[in-house]
Amino acid sequence: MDKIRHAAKIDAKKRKDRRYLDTMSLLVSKGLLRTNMKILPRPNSRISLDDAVWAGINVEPRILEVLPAAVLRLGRHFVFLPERHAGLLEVVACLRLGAVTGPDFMGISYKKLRIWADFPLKDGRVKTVSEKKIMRAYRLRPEIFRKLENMAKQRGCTETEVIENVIRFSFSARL
Amino acid sequence: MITYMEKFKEQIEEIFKQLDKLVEAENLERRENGAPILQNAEVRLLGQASLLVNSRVSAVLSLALTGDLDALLKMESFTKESLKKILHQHGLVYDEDSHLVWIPDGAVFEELLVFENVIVKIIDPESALVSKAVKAPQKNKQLVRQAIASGEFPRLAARIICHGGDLEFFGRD
Repeated sequence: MDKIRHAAKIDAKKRKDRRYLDTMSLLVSKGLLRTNMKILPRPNSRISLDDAVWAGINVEPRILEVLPAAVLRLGRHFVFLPERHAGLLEVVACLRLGAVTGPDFMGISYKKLRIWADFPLKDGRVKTVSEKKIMRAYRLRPEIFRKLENMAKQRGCTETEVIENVIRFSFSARL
Repeated sequence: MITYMEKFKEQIEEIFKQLDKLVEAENLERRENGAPILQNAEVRLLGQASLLVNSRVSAVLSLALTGDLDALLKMESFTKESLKKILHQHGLVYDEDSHLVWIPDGAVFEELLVFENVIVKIIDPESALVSKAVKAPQKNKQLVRQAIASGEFPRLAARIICHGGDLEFFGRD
């Protein structure tokens, strides 16, 4: 019991560590974590990925559960050297592709990690993986392109929406 | 000053109030159509959410939670689907693996919210901590240590040992 009490004292000190507070400030203000602790919200901060991993291993393991989704969705908020986080980035790549299966991260199953890629965040501008549009360039024949333009004008929507609707319709017609 | 615990409790109350109203409206329609009405729903909150809504526990433990809600649901599929939609609106996700959460012997469920069509109960905090300590010690190492050291849960250590948990694990760095 003494060992547990001693370890609890060390934990309490770690909860005051800058690395933990910075990580929680970002994740709590973005809505990926909730806490009953007094945390200063810093939604625009940039934090070191090394610090976030440290905080997840040493203070709050739930940080590790949401970290791959955080890196995917809030990428510009993290500073890191890719070669130091190959395992994490492999998970992030799978999440980006919307893969159903993928590698575990620090003992947390991919199934569990995947939930947070499609989780609504406080900031509505941050899209979920399934909402995020993928950019592609296609070369269309002038005749097809003109038809596409006309269809968009007639329907009062964008050319992208016309293509999406045509594909959706052709799939539903097959069913 | 409103604490996060109070805010979360209010959010939980709002979620189940919305669910209650939905069930009420659905039942009204079903009665008019002569269809069988929905049975009363029971929700048993488990995990971190059950600790966070408990003011006594929230005052002594540093809690962090992801957006998933562990709960045992005793309700019809219409009610469950409605609950999942409401949770999503509130930035929460129902954990479909909740039925796998181990509940130790002697766990007591206390009433948290009672509406006309929905009752919400929470597992007693000591049992929630025993479950975490025995089944997911790595994820809850710091939490269990803090709970034991706080002295607020006098039977916690004994119950962890009794259920086959490794108490020494929590003393290791």
